[in-house]
Parts: sequence; C-alpha cells; structure tokens
Amino acid sequence: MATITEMLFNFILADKDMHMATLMELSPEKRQAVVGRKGKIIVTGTQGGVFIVRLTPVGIFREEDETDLRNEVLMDYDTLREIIIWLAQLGLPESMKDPMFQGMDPRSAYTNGYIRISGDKVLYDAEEIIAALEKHAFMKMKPIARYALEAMRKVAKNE
Amino acid sequence: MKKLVISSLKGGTGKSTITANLGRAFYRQQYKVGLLDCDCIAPTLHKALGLAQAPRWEVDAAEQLIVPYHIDGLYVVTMASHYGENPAVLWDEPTLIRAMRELNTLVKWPPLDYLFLDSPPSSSKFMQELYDCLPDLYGIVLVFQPSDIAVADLVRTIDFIRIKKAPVIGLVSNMAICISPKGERFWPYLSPKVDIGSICEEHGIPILGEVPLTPLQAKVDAELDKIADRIENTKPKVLTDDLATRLCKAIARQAVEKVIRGL
Repeated sequence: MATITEMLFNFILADKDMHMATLMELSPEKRQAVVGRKGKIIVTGTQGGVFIVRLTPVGIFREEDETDLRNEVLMDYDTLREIIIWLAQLGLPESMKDPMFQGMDPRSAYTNGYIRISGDKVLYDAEEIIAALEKHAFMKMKPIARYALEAMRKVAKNE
Repeated sequence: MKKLVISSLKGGTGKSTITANLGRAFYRQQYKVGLLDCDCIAPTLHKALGLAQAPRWEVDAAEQLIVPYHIDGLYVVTMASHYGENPAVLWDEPTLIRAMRELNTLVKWPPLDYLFLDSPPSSSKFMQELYDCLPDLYGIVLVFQPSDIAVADLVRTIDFIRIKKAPVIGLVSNMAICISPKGERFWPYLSPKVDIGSICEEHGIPILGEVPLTPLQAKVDAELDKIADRIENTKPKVLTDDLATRLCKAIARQAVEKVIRGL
C-alpha cells in the first residue's frame, strides 16, 4: 500500500498541466537552466518515501537511476505533515486557524534544520528549491492539505 | 575590489550598524560599495539599513549566482533573505561552513571598489572559515564599545586575529558616548567606561575614530566620513607577537629540538 508521502507526490507528479504552466512562467534563461535537472527527495518515516525526479521540457518525471543527481532533499514525515498543516491554514485569518495545529512553512523548516538540502551549490539550489516548493508544489497540495487537516482533527478528537 | 571585514567576537558592539554606516560613508565618497552580511546565525545588516525585512534573494539562472539587492546606492547580500521571518537557525557546523564558503563565492557582485563583510560574533569553525576563504582580504576593522565588560572580548578578538594572521586596519570605538537630541553628552551604561586606547597601543592597533550613540545622524555621518578617510590612509598590518614572546618561543623551540636530538 502506498504511503501518505507517495500519494501526495504522485498527485503532484501526475499534474503535467501544472508543471507546464509553471515552466512557462519562468524566463527563457531560467527555463533553460532548470530543465534537465535531477534530484532526489527522501522523506523518512513509516509514511515516507524516496523519489528521484527529473524536470524535462514536458514536466516532472520519476526516474530510478541515481546518477547525475544535482541535489538531495531530506526531511522526515513529521516535517512534511507540519508543512501540510501550514498549507491547509495558509491565507486563513488568525481567528480561524486551529491553535492545536500550528504547522510550519517550508522556509522555516529548512532554516530550523528539519529540511536538509545537499548539492554543489547549496545556497543557490536551496533558494530555488524552497521558492519552488513555496510557490508551486505545495500550493498544488493546498486542497488536499485541508482534507488532511480535517482528518487529523478527527483523530485528535477521538484520542 | 578591497575586501574589509568588520569584526568583533563580542555581540552587540554595533558591527552591522558600523558596516552599514561605513558603506554609506564610502558611497558618499563616490565609491561603489557592496555589503555582505556573513552572520549565518543572526543576520541583522538589513535592519541597520532600515529594512524591516530583507528582500528575497534574486538569482541569476544562467550563471547560477545570487544577485545582490540595491538600496541607497549600496549592493547588499544577507542570509536574512534566505531564511524566513526570524526563525532560529539550527544548521549543523558543516552546513554553516559551506554556507559561509558559498556566500563568498556564489554572489554576482557588480564591479565594486569596496566590499564590507559584516562578520558574526563568534570564533567557531564557521567563523574561521570566513577568514580561510578570504585569501584576498584587505584588512579588518575592529568594532568595540569602550566599556569594562567588553575588554576581555577585545583582547580575545585581537588574539584570534593574530592567530589567523589577518591584516588589521584599526579599531572603531562604537557607542563611545551618548549624545542626546539637545547635545548633552553622557555615559548611560552600567559597566564603566575604559580607555581602549591603552589596549590598542599595547597591541599596535590604530584607533580609527569614536562613533557616538545618538539620534543625530549628521554627527554619526561626520565621524564615519573621518573614519573612512583614515581607513583609506592606513596601511593594514598583520599583528605579530612582541619581542619577548618571540624570544621565549625561540628558546622553547631550541630546547625541544635539543632534547629530541639527545634521545
């Protein structure tokens, strides 16, 4: 059975229209610089997963081969869950946010050391990766993040 | 491009404020100036420049470099742009070391006359990396507040710089006196004022000037203009041990060699 992380990432990877729309937003120089890049995302924990992905001119695709990796992004499932909680409540007025579930934005998670990014140009790459997560990938997850938060609330109530 | 590190191992001496004000002083003298906030733990240079929040980094995708933001004629790069809104930076030492190295290599500076590096108040490994990745360092400007509580840290800083064999330009005595808006001068701190001059003289470090703590920015600017002139006219020098210490070390070396040869 697929883990929560796998389900989330498969959902993002399946939406090629979103990938293309995001690519088209970039300047030609930027597009040229990022297309072809390959990275590995590791989410540890029982609900985690490992993904090797490449950005191609027609979207992001999963690969198996570990050669030519530019970056590795490492986090645990708890961090991903915190980001989902942040995402679910993003844009809500403070009074409507659930005090039990604070969540954490991806940039703070990175600065606090919960997300680790490795590569040859870490600062440059981290800036690009975090900005991409903030602007695109996690935004796409926003609707399901709201469902996920509801599910968490139910579990919390029952406990 | 001359690279100058603004340094003090003590926190709260006003390194970022002096970096920002020195940058402005050199800019007033028609120089092209860059400022690099090297404090990877608690960057505050943007605050000293009057910004509530540092703008996000722009990147040059073709060259894969970080592009400085431009404010008041100065080109600025700070880690605060990379972090979120004041989060605790909990990176391990190797990550901080890499960040320090990359800050010094991955920035697309325009042609500059001066680059001022605002250093963190620490002697940890990542701070040492700053000096290790600056073989072309022009000189260090020490910043200290002349209070009794800061003296030990001043001596530690001088020792640190001597060990790193880094060239020193001189010392700025910051918050040397408080001047009220009405022009009254007073010493507002609990720790008594000390004569930093004698410590500097002992170590052969010139005093570049005294900057008051005051809302009267014109007074600060006037002092910084003088300091900028002195920086331009002072030749940086590497601090060496005094004659007595060198003699002791030479004797010790000879004694050790003699003992080892006799084994």
